[in-house]
Amino acid sequence: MTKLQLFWGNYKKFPGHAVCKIGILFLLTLLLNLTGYAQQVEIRGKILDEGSKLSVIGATIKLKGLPGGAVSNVDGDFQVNVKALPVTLLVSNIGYKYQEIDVYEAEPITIFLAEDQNRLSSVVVVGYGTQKRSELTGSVSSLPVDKLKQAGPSFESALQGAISGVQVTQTSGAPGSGVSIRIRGGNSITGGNDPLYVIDGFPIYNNSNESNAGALNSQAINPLSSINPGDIESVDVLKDASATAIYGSRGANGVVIITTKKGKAGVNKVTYDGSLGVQTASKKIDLLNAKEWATLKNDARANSGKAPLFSAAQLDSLGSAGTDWQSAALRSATIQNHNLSFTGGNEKTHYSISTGYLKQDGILIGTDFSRFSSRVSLDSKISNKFTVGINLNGSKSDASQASFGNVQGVGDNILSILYMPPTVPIRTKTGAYTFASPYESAVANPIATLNLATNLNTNYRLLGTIYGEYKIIEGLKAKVLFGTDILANKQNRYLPSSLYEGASVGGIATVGSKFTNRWLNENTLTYNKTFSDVHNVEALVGLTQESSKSEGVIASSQGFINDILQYNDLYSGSTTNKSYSSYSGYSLLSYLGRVNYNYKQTYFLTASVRRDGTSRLGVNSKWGNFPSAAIAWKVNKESFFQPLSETVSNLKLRFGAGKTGNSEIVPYQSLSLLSVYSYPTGSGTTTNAGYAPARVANPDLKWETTAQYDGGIDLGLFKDRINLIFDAYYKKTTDLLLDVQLPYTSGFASAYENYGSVENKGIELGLNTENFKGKFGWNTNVIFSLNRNKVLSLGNGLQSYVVTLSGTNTAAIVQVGQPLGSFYGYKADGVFKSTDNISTTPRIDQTGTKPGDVRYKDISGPNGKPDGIISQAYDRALIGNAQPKFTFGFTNNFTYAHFDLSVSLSGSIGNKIYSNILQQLQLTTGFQNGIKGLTDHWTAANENAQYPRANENVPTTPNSDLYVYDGSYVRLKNISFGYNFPKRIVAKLKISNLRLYVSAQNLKTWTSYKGYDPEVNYYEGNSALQGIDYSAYPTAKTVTGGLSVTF
Amino acid sequence: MKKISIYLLIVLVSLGFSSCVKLTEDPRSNISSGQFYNNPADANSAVVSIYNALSHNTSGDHASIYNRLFTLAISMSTDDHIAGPRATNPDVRSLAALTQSASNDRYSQLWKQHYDGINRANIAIDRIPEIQGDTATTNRLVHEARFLRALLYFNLVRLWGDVPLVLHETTSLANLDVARAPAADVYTQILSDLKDAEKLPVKFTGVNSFRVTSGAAKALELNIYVTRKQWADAISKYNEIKNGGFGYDLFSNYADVFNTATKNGKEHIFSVQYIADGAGNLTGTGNTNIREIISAPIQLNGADADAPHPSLLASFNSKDLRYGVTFYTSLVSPFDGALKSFTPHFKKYFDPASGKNLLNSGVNVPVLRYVESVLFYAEAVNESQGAVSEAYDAINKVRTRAGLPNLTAGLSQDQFRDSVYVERRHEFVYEDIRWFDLIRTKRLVSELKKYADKVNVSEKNYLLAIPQHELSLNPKLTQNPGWE
Repeated sequence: MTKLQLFWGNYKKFPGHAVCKIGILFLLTLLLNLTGYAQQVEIRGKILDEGSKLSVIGATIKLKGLPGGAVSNVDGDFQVNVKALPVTLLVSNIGYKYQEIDVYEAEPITIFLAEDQNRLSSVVVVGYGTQKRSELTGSVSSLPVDKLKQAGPSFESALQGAISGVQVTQTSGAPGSGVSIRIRGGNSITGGNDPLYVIDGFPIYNNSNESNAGALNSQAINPLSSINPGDIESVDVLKDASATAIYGSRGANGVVIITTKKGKAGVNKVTYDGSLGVQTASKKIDLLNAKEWATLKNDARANSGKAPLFSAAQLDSLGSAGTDWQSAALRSATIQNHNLSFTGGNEKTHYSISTGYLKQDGILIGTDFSRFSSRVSLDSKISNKFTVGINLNGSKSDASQASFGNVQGVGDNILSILYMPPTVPIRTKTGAYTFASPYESAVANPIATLNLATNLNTNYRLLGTIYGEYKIIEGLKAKVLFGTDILANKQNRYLPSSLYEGASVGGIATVGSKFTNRWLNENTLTYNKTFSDVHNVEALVGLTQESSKSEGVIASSQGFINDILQYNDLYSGSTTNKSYSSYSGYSLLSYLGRVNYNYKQTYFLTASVRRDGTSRLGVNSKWGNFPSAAIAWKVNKESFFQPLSETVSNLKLRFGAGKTGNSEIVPYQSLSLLSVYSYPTGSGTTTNAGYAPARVANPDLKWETTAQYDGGIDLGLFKDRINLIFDAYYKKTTDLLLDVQLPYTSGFASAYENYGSVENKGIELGLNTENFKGKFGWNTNVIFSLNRNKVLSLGNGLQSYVVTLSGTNTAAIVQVGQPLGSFYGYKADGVFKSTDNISTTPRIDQTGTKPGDVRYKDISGPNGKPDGIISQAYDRALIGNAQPKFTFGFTNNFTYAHFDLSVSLSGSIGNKIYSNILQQLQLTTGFQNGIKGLTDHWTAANENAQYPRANENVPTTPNSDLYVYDGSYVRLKNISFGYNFPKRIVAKLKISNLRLYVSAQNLKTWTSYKGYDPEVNYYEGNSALQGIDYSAYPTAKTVTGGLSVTF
Repeated sequence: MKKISIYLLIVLVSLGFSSCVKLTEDPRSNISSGQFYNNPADANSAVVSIYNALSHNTSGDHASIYNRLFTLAISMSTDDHIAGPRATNPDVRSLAALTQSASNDRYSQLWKQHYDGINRANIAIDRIPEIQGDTATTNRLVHEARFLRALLYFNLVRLWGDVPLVLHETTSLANLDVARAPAADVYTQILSDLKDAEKLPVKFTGVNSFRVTSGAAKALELNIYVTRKQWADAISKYNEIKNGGFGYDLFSNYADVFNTATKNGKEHIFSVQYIADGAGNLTGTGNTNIREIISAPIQLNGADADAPHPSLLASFNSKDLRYGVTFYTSLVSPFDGALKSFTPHFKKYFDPASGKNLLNSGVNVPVLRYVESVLFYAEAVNESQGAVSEAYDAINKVRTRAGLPNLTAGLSQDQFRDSVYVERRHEFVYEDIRWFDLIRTKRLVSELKKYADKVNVSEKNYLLAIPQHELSLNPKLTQNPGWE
């Protein structure tokens, strides 16, 4: 505390302060000179922020119907002189609501300005510039500031339910893991579908490969988790083509613009923000207990002609006891977050310095995530014409991760927790960990793995931009910006020999690192001028260039005599595994231009074009052009509209169209590159290196192009107390960058070609109402998004293909006329009854089918009609899809005196889930544990059972509609309750603002889905495999308490 | 100040507006086609990549042709195999039950991996002759490539009948649809390739011992003649192999066929090579033979997915020494030192040196064994002359090594033929020969119908389904009868 006061004290000695004061004095003198000759009544006042009670500098005070006015100074003070009272003051400032105040007496007044939630008059950040929201022609949404405060460890989750047209799906509950974001649906089948992020002007495609050296069996860490949400000032989402076309070849998936906090003149603030919370698993999957499982095991063996494994006495002694593996693996975990920031500046120089620390333990034992971040933002007007600035974000994050995917031949931690039979103890009688399941399914002891295996993932990131801006003549500015983004990833893995996963190799250690360096240069000229008072023109031209390279290395050895050294000395391993190094790079060169024109703030026109050249595509098609145009008409500005203006404060009609691109494929896909195909020599353990092409060249490979049309209405009623934004859009993506299947006779499986098309169309609505204002305030925010996705063609005459992974058909199909994320499988038709004549009924297993087995519908056959056989080729059908009918968000903010309460719901309705995990947990083989109720399986005495008969001979079940679930949910995403201490109390402590709050995330989810969480996305970025649930890290519900204090 | 700013700006702007990025791709960690095929070392690498197609999978997801894919795609459907308890893949289980469809992924993979190898062979055959330098070496490399192309086409033509005959490298995305060529034309090409491959050296040693030889070319020709019932050609080819100075013979101990110490020995005419380099991978991308762990029982932490059919176990004579080499029923677990007993599991690819790491088998997979030439000879003699003494001598040579008495004298031609078939079944367990035997001798349906779990077999199974994947992509292809 003393230190902070010192800082505050020291500030007064800043030379800039003096300069600033002189400036204000000059301004005041000027004003006095203008008005000094008249008979005067002096009005003095102070302008404060209603929330923080800090002075508002630079607010404009005008007099209604009279000349003259003033600007508030560094302390928020102002003074105007009028001839006579009463008078009406018109007070306005960017970011605040406009106010009219009637003044009857010449006494000092205090005016509280409220932050403008609707932000209509506020500025939004668009590509290569800013624009007033009221002048926008395109579809741009801003994340409400309060949502950003509720973001938690990563800002992306704050977008969920907060912005219409943006679908956010969490891919895993693991700390530091990513979310998938789709703006107005997914356009691409094999290319990337994530939006482009622009952080302080630096365009970044969030590529999780860059934070994944490849040494771990873990989910990739989300590279954006390196950004501290506490450092973010604003998030603006560009949705339609007229807004995104300025990003050309990377604009097709939408653009998310992130601006970090900047200092403001005059207000020197020291803010500490800290919170502490507890996370618990929001749900456990109900599984069989020991006795139930042992009974199932016996039943399955009996149906396969084997003796029971458990005697009646053993069954009784098991009771409901046994190991609850989920409880053993899950815990309540703490999360703490601290941010300290210093912001301020004077007229010429603004600064913002901050540092943050996040520590999040995972709800799964042995997992955690921590992040240390620091940031500097500085800009200075070094002359009247020249401004320089720098933004620098540095962070380090460390994650201890759970095993994911296939690890040395067995399933990952989550699967093991669910599959491990409850009769298996965590530790043997000797106290050592049980090695593995002794039953048929290979399951390693997950508790041993979580505790003993090491999966460390560290990311360092430095993201910085430096710029200079020069005012050549009035209205014409040149700006040069250089930026760099450096990502360093280090991964360490050790599987000790005491674990099932490490036993066969005597312990295995792997280290990997990846270093990515991207640089950017942007040069823009902007021209801003109003002609004849009515023609407002803003023009932009620019050239940008960008280049990125990424280098990786992985080394590994195995066979350690003990576990002391872990991954720190690969040389100690008795066998050195192959090591790898890799290189990947791309570059982009672009020319861009944009014109914004409006006539009397009533008719608006925007046109932009970008020409992009990329290294990623074929030699014959490196360059592409991406134009757009949009118009808007602000109807309420028309004179004929005046009679309605009391009711309708804003009415704007917008229409825009444009072309954007996507080239998010792995580099070098247009080339014929050779791969190493080695072969042993037959002498010792030596090998020969063989080389052969892995791909056939496609010199014509070009952009994926999305044409988008958007029409929208902005409506404000009752002085903008009700605001509605409605948009309807149509997007058609053609020349898909499809990894087109080739006839295998070519010697190649596939090649990237431009084939096929996909459409997305939808509507989105945002409604903001201010229901009450005053001491009791209540505002409501509703967002609604509806998107319909359809594959129009796949090229090559292909009508559909079933997505296969690792040689297995998944339950997903890509089919012309259907949306992406369609599920495909058999249709179940109950089970065979004892009375059924099985030999005459269509069935999959011609010989082994018995009563109690699942019946499937005979849909078709070689001749187009049912053929009496259930076959893969003819009897699978569409069984649902992962696309929601609509998604929504519903937020209510209440304030009463110093208290505030915010309640946010978000939801997704009509989407289906294909649950691979519930499919596995419904196996009646007795090889692994299953879902509660599986004991209610078919027997001759129980013909109406819920599940088919227990049977060892069906160790797998075909993909069918039995495992398609309704994925609709409504989630209480956030509740937060806060108290702002009255200024008169905290002022004694020299505190300008003190706030205490408690908040809860994911407190309750209403869904019928029985898995961990209805938000599923096992195959993250793969748009053909949406809505599939498999091994998902359980979601946490979090309760945190915190305080925010500003000096 | 102002002047400095202006100069700074001019410098920055001129710097900025001059582009310094290049849009050409620079894939540094990969070689591109244009940089390669320049010298004999490149030529050698091109040929090594064809061998790799036999032993290593190319897509990262699958077993490779001789590293279990044959077992999955064809052997699983025979009366030698069942799908073990940990074989949970629906495609694999449907193959074991003969309920597979044309979309079965194992069929697609088998087809694909053959054509992958053929494309690599075509590259070698097209490009190596243009390489300047040591022509003796480059010519030899082309002969190796032609042998491997012949082997791959021989597999294809036996399994699918008429197949697309692609003889040149794929260099562009145009004209990739190729129609099926008549089987006779495919055989003509195979024999022409093998005639060329007969020019290969008689023997390779040391770091070249993985390569194919002229003996391998002849042994493959023998197989073709027997398959096509050209008995006289078969007999004369056998004599070339026996008397051609190759030094082939049977190991006296059957176990030595699968012993890492005796790999590439006198009985091995051509084997696919594996080494225990500790870097095995279940998907078959490593250099180890994955069938050790695939066939090992749960009790040894094996994958327990390839398991013997009860009829195979029952058919063995109790004195047959091959039984103990082929199967095991107990082992001291390297994990806890306890003796584990289990039902009979395949042992052929078990490498005792692998210890705890069952993914570290260095046992080779034989493709052409001299013993097969001997049995082909017995079969060819019997077919052309009846059960004469030359036929008896040949089969008894094999039986003697197996610890079995000589075959009963005086058998009829039919009885002798059946005896050869039985001998072949017991000699080549888990070597993926049974399916080829059943189809070439037209006994597939009659043999499999004997067993309840294989009754779904039908006439259509004599040819595999053309993969649905290919049919949908290549309009020039037609499906085999019964699979439409």
